[in-house]
Amino acid sequence: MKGENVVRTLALTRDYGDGAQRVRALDSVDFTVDKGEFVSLAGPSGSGKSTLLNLIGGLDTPTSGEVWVGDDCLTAKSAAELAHIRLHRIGFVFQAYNLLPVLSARENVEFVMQLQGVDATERRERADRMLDAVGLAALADRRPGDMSGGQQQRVAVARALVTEPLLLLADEPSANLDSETTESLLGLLRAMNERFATTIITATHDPIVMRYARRHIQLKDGRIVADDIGRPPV
Amino acid sequence: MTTPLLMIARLGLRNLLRYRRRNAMLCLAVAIGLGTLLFASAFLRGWETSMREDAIDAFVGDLKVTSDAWLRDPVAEHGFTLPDDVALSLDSARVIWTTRLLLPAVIQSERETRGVQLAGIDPADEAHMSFVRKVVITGRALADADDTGLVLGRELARRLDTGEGKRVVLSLQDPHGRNREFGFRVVGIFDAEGTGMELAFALTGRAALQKKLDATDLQTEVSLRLPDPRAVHTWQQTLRDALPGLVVNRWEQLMPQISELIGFSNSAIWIWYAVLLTALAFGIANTFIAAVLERTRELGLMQVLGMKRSLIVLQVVIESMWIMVVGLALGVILGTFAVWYFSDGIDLSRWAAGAEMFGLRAVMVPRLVVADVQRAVVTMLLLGLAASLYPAWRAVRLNGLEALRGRT
Ligand SMILES: Nc1ncnc2c1ncn2[C@@H]1O[C@H](COP(=O)(O)OP(=O)(O)OP(=O)(O)O)[C@@H](O)[C@H]1O
Ligand SMILES: [Mg+2]
Repeated sequence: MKGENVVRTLALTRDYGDGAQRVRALDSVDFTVDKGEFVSLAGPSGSGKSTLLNLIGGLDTPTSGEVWVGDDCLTAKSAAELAHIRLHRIGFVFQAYNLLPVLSARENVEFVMQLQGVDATERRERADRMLDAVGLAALADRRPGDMSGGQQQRVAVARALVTEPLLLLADEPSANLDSETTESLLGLLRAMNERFATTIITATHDPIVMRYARRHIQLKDGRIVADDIGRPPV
Repeated sequence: MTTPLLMIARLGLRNLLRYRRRNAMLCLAVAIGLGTLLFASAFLRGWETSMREDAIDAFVGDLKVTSDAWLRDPVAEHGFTLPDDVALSLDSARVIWTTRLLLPAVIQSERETRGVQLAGIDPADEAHMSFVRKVVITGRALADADDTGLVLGRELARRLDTGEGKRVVLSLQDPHGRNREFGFRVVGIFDAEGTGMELAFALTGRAALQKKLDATDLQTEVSLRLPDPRAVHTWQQTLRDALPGLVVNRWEQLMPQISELIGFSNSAIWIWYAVLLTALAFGIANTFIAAVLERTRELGLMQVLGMKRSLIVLQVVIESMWIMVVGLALGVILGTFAVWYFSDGIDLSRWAAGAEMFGLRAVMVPRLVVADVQRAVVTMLLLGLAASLYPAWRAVRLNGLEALRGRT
């Protein structure tokens, strides 16, 4: 296996349901993502985008095939080991419900570092730096309920990046945002991608999101139908 | 690792505050439930204690020595004399004891005739052991064992229509089986709070009665109070060995109905516990389960972010346990306060006209037993633990993603 591969899948297949209701959400997908790539997964609804992201994130187990994240083959891992990998190597941004409602923005950003056992001073320093980077220094003490959807997504990005993960997975991060907010969020992701060489994979329907990505993968019926490696951003 | 623990403590606290109202209600429900439980069991314990004390105080004692024949037919003929060496060893063993001459008699005033137990007692001894030490006497009390006066219960005096200073006649059998009649002067009236004692016994000096019957040293019973009631079986055996030919009984053996009633009260406490705890458990479990389900998404997010399942469960459980601990502490305070508030006794006479029939005194003092408190608190903690562990475990058993999507 090549050292720089951050993600590598081998004949990755995921079926849902049994018997007549059986759905093949992902059908023998092989692909790799290298360090520093910014990949968008596009495709019609039900084409398997989320399924693929979840398998890469260790949130779901494949029916057959393998997923590698860095040097770890996720397929063979226990729930506790997967939790450990998620905690230390992967950042997540979802469409909604990204934040713990009882914690302030800063505390949400600190949360994962706390789980990692980072000491308080360093945690606070890093959280503030990251909130500053996403332009939310002034809102550090607000709780999610008192922030707009875009601000919440920015906190989620800060939370996902503060641990300097190997990989950032974002499933429809802009689904609840207007286009202006989407532009600024994606600008942020792009900047982070360039600044920290964070590998980003995002599933999306949104042309704005695709515009910010550097590599575009098309899924259809659980298969990759297009992959434009090397094509420069629009 | 203290950091995650601090973190879950903070999360727990924030969540408690987030659902302030509901959690306060739950605390209150737990407190009131436990408080009621404790007060009710204190009430039953109080009743139990007064039953036992009254039984022991009714000229019974922790242990009582009689002849076997007297138990079947309590007449003077079946009396005995306690050997001096046994009397001496009792004196040296620091137990409280006395001998009595208890004879069935017919008491006659100018107006009425009734049956009664004539009790020849030593008032100095009784001052430490029987109901005699508690009664309020109008007129005068017996001075000593040689006192020839008679002290009657208030109720008996009322029924005989007699009183202080008047004369009554008692007929009884002497040790030779002959019927004898003796005149007595009523010197005092005792008030035993309406218990059966007032009708059951007429009191006079033991030595004076023995003299009247020409039976020096005749007694029908030896009665003992032990400083440590747990030693009762040892003492029973010792006395049986020392007094062959006589029988030695514990109070429970002499008053099996009362001892059974107390056993019944104990089971009643258990049933009461079970009913109340079941009701509370359902309420608590319901609330805890609802509270966890409401937060399935959050718990899913924690799992997705890489928080260990055990830590998530711990967080939920700690949160619930806070509610339990605060509620239970309040409940203990509440129960203790209620018991303290009624420590002068609860006057039952207003509600329970027939209470005396069940051996209830008119005034009942609730008694909080530490073991009851412990049992209730531990049971409720375990229930609370189960009621939060179960939904928390269910929530993390879902894959974090499903939980995050809001599936349950
Ligand atoms: N938990 C599940 N149980 C059963 N079927 C599922 C489950 N998750 C996904 N599927 C099915 O798998 C297929 C792929 O779903 P997936 O969510 O990956 O699509 P998607 O590309 O993310 O779609 P969308 O753009 O709507 O988010 C669909 O047919 C879907 O119905
Ligand atoms: Mg999807």
